Amino acid sequence: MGHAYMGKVLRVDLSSGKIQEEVIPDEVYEKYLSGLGLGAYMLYKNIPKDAEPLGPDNMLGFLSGLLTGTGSLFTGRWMVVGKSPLTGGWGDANCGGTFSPAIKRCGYDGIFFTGISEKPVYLSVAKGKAEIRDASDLWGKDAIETEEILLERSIGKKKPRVVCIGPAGEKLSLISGISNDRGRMAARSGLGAVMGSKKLKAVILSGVKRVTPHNRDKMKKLSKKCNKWVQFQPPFLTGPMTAYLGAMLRILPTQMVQDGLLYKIMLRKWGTVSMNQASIEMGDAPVKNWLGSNKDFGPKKSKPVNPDVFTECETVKYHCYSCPLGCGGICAIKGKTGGEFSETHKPEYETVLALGGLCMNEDPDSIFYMNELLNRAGMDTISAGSTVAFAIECFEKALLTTEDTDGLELSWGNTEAIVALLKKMIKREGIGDLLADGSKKAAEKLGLNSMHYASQVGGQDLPMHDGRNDPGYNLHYAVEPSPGKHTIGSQMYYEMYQLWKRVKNVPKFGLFSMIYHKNGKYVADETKAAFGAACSKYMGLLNGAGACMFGAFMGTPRFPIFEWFNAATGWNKTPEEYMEIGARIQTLRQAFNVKQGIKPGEVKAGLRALGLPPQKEGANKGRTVDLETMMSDYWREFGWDPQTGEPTTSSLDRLGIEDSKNNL
Amino acid sequence: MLPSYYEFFNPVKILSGNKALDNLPYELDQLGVSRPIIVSDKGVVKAGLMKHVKAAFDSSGMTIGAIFDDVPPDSSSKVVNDIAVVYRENGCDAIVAVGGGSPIDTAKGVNIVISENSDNLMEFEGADRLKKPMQPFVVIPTTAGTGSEVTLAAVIKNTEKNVKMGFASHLLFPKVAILDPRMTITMPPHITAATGMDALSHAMESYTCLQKNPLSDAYAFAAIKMISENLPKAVEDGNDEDARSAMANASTMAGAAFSNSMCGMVHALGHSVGAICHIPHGMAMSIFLPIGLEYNLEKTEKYVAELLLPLGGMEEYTKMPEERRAARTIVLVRKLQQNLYDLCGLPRNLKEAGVPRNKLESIAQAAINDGTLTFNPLEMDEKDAMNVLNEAYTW
Repeated sequence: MGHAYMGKVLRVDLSSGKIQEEVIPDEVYEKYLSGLGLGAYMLYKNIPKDAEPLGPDNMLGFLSGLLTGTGSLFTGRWMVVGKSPLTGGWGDANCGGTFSPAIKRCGYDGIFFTGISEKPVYLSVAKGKAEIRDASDLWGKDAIETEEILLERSIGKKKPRVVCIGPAGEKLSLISGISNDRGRMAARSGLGAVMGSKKLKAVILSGVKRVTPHNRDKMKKLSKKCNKWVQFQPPFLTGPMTAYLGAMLRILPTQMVQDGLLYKIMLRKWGTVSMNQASIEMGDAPVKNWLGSNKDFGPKKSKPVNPDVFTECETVKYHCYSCPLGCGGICAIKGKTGGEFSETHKPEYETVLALGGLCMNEDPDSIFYMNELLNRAGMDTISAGSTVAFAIECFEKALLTTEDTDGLELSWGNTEAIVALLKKMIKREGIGDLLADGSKKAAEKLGLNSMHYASQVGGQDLPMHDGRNDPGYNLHYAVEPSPGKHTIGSQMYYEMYQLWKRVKNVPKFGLFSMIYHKNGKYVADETKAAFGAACSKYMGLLNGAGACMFGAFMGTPRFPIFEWFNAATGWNKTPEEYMEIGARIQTLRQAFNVKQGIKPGEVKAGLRALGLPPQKEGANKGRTVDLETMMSDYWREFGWDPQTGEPTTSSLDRLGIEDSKNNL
Repeated sequence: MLPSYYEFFNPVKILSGNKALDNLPYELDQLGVSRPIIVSDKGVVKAGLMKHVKAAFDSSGMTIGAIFDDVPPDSSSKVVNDIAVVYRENGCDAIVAVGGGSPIDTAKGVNIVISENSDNLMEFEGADRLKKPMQPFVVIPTTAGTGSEVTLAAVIKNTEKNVKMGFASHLLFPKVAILDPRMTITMPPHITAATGMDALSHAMESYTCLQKNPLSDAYAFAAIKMISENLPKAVEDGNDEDARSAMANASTMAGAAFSNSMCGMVHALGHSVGAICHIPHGMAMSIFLPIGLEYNLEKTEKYVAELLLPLGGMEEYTKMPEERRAARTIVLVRKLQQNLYDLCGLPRNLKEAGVPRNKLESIAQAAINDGTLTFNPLEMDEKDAMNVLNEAYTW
């Protein structure tokens, strides 16, 4: 009888070259799961206070999920954790692909790096042996070239799996990420720069160990049932018609509690780009650096990025490990890029909107091109697009002139200039050097009032979901220990997760509240805080499991995460007990931030993203978000100090997080 | 484009230059007076400036009738009445104000009660309430910012009601203003900076607000050029007499401009934050000026764009495309703000100025009732004011 996890991690000190295994006690898994939770446990324990994020004391961890390899579905995401050089606090990013099971096949739940190598290196784990190898010849290569070279060098029947950085990480760009599977990125938190600072170019893993779940039959049964829902795929709208779906959601004064099955259908048909036009129309997608609205980038302008455009050039659809949905794809782009690139991963919604509407760029070919440029460079497309939009606004407001931009006319929608600027950012050349660390760092250097144009929270550029449309996003952008992320919670996520159908003591939507007036969404009250806290705890679980939120969107009755946990581990915990684990993971990450000097109360979006002043037209006209009330209520839900956001001694006691108290 | 109708009036004789103060007795003599009262404050005395005034009288044969050198920073009707008593007791026949905004406005109040032969300043509050000929009145400014030496207005606190009273009449204009660089040379850097930004706000609001006219424009334009070229110099090196002199002249020109064209929301907000949080006026002007310019931009873009020439110079103006000149003007105001912050710590936002965030609503309410808002190009309601204040709170 197995228990889902491997029970040990690999520790690599790049300064000394020492490699050793560390056994993780069972109770750690029961308290924190694996993935994000195990990462929090390791980082809190091992990263000293005030550690320099790009220094030897920072720890960079690659983790698999607790449920990865157990026969559950949607549970193949790997996670990278470290102290973020971008935010100065907790940093994490996760990614699909195939790297998560590769970690477990090598017999580990995670691989943790400390120290700094003198020269570029990569870690190879193969046939049960871990080695640090010279990567001098790989340094300077882009992420895809690096992966190709490493795979060519490998021997054996089983294809190894690689994560690596591109030139952006090498050049310590604080918006650089870590790539696997030819450009799929764990993009956020600037952890590519941490990898670059350690001179760690890549990790290549090849192993044959298998995970043994506690009850394989039960796992199969649960997954089979879940898969039936995934396979439910009725005919759906055409791409351009999705704009009208968004417009309808905007115009109607009421809305139904959202059922994620609809989103699952769209994701399966198109991938995340399914929401491109709908999001703009409903006010979910920020436009023109959060200044504009659907009025500025209406259906005519956004039609070139309607979902069909992306599937029309899609040559292959692909699935991440253990995923039955398959939102990924490879697009042929030779003709779109003048022959420079032959293919690219199907751009994600975030990428399309950040490099499209946010910069008022109407040219879809340029988006395919920039997607590939950024994937190869290993740079976060969200932060890159957001920083370009910031630069354009600075140029429009005459804070930057052509003298500063090496002659680039950075006007809205000037595709040529946008592409040229992005290339400069990747190379850290001229103005690109100023912008390569995201909009906040650029604003700090540029000075004057440019911080008002930086759409970021705590240093991380904001994603393409507008908290003026769903204030839950704004809440999570601020309260999440790794701020500025859209993959944690919102009212829409809460509705789709349908937690109330499995978990007691969370707000319910019943028969009579299935349709509600939209105005209610914009009132900051305790229910919204409860939505927020539940989303954070639930995402803690999902990230501990290595699960994909797109599966979770189908709702707990169709996505049996709690049941999978018990069947895989042999534990017999209730959903409430699992939510408590989610709370523990969240609290330990918050404690990590406090230990590292972050003041949670000071981490929040700028005025514009909060609707101050409110927009004068468009989907979010007149809306303002009372973020401070929401933050305070949210912290109260966790039992933290409602004024400062710091975990209280009693909250740490209740969750059994003993060792962090001395640091608070 | 010319306004269909406008008035411009500025009858103040200006004496400017090194040792201009030495001409004071002659000017008083020309005004037919022989026993002036000197109205000043302790700051002027402490800075040793009064000795220049007394020295001017030394060989003139003219006698100083009385000296009142205890005007407080936030002067009041009580102080006005106290000085009027001194004036009468000593048989004075003219008023010489030496100082910044407070002694000058107080002296204007004294002139009102003496000339109207009244002991109740309050009955003259408002515009054009004065009827009788005024006492000869000379102003020697020791700051370069308020422009009070050439304005028809005064603000004095009513101690009984704890409100500020405004007085405006063309009779309140001084007869003579003396701009002697020796009188501003001891001004510390942060006051030089704040008062200089006050002058800039007068000039820029004058050029962009509703009652602008060709003559006020000319004064404002010239003032902005001088401020841009000399304010950082005067802050950096207080002994730079040329810079001091230029700032004194700029302040006077800006005063002449705004007293004819009036000001707008920058002053409305500045008055309110001053009244509620006791933030020095110039500091408030510095914080609100770029934000006010930006707020009004949809109506004033053309004018703000024109101001790039005096503010940034010919090269900056010509190289900047026309459609971005207005924005660049605002950037240069912010660069000046930053420069002054670096030089002497002049706050760039309300947070740095020590304004509590929970006061913003009261400030917004007060601002929308401020008279200067009448002349602002765009309307501003309480919500608008809150948005502006929120922006002004952070840099």
